[in-house]
Amino acid sequence: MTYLTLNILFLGLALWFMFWVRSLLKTKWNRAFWIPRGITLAVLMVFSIVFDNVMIGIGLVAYDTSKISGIYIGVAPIEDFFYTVAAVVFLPTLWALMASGARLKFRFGKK
Amino acid sequence: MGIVYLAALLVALTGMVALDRRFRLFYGVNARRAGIVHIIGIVFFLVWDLYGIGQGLFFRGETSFMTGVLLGPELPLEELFFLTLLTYMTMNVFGASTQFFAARETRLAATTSAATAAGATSTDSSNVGDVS
Repeated sequence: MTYLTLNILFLGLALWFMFWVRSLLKTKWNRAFWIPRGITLAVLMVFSIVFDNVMIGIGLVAYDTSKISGIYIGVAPIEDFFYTVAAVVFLPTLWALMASGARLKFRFGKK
Repeated sequence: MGIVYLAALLVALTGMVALDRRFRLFYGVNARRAGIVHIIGIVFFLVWDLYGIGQGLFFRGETSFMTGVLLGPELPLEELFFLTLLTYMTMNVFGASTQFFAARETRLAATTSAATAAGATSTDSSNVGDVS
């Protein structure tokens, strides 16, 4: 298995979850949905690129080069940024699901 | 045993907590809900990491910046803190951008209704004002 295959599986899981929650809550794909997520993705990507390049630059982590695509942003394999994208897809979705509570049999936290 | 990386992560996490408390971004909105989202998020990424390590895709490198404490094969203690930071920061930025968007919408709505009211008033009175 390549790093890219693994990432597609996990990002796919996060995306599937987002679509599932969207249909459950009947969320609209409107500006209120996209703008906060778009800003979050942009900010997190900038930080991730800097952070990951430093981490790899000083040698905290290493990769089996036969299992990565060979596409890099600086010294960081493009695959690493799937974590960032998945975080922005998955976490706000989970947050929204729990905040709604309405269509579930149990409610999380205070209203 | 190097503590540099762990210390850097802890400093960054402290910053996240401070921002969260100051601007009510994540735990500041609903601590219980935030805790559950945070833990599920960290577990999701840990599983992802473990699959990657299991498949031999990536591994621990230079250790002089790390404590050397391992949670599992090729899984340093620091990774747990890194994932905690990644998830915390994502939700802090999401909290901030949600607030930013809501504030902007409110301001735009206020401006629009004010402009509509002003427009209606000037039309009602006379056309004199339109020249300037």
